[in-house]
Amino acid sequence: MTRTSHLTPDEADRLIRKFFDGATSNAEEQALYAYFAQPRLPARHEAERGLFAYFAAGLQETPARPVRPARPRRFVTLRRWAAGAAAAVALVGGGVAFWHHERVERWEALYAGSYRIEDGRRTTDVRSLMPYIRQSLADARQLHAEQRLLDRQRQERLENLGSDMIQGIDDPELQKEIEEICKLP
Amino acid sequence: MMKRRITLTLLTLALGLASGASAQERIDRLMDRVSSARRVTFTSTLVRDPDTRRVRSIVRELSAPPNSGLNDDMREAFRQEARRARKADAVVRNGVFQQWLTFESATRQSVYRLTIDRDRAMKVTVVVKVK
Repeated sequence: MTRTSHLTPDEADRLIRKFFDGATSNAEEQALYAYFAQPRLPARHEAERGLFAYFAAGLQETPARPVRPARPRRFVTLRRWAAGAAAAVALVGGGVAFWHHERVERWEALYAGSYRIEDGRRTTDVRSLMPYIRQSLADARQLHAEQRLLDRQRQERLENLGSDMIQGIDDPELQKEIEEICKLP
Repeated sequence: MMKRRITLTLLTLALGLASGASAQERIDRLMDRVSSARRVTFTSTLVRDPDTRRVRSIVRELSAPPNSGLNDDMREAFRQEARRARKADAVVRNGVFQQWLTFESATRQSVYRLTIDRDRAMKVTVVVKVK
């Protein structure tokens, strides 16, 4: 497109120096662009025709809202994030399912043959029995603890009985024999 | 007369030995008999070696609610078997009756516990450890 320029070559020289100093106004820049758009220029300005054509074209092609090119990037990022999250959820879900399967297999290896009868109804599925199995094992541990306590109390009673009996006996050999008897479990 | 006395003595001894041989099973047989009764709960847990599947221990539990009619039979079974037990203990504390019996053989050790609480609910726990 050919622009009509009112600048003389000397006026153009002055505005070119001002342009590169960064001091030109918009109107002065538009005047320079129009000058360099003419088909015929002085030889000293012909070399800069391309440069000012670039400035003129860059200003015109710059969009008013630079958001549009960023929007596709954001959409792609969102899609990638969603795909990554879905893959992570699938991986975690698969891991949990595998872990659960392994746990059930271990229960069945440990407690196969266990069963429960409640009000005449019999259950043999180990998975559904697990809460009752845990309770039974806890009761068994408590029973063993009670046994140890009873053994200790029994031994203390026996030792006290032996001490009481020895007090009334003068024969040291008989005393020793009674002590030995009271040490027996 | 003498022959009759000897025969009676031998017969009594034989019966005593026979009852002694099955004495430990008295509680087990009673538990099995009432395990399917109404309002009774029975759990049998086998604990196995996970690699060999060999049974290492067995835990059996019987629970009966108050007024089940089973308390007297179970107390009698425990009383009878206490004579054959290696260890026997009993205690009444805060209205709760508890009795423990321990039996031991070459292949296993068995511990029995009877609990009758203040409301007359009954629970029997048996732990058998296989040697």
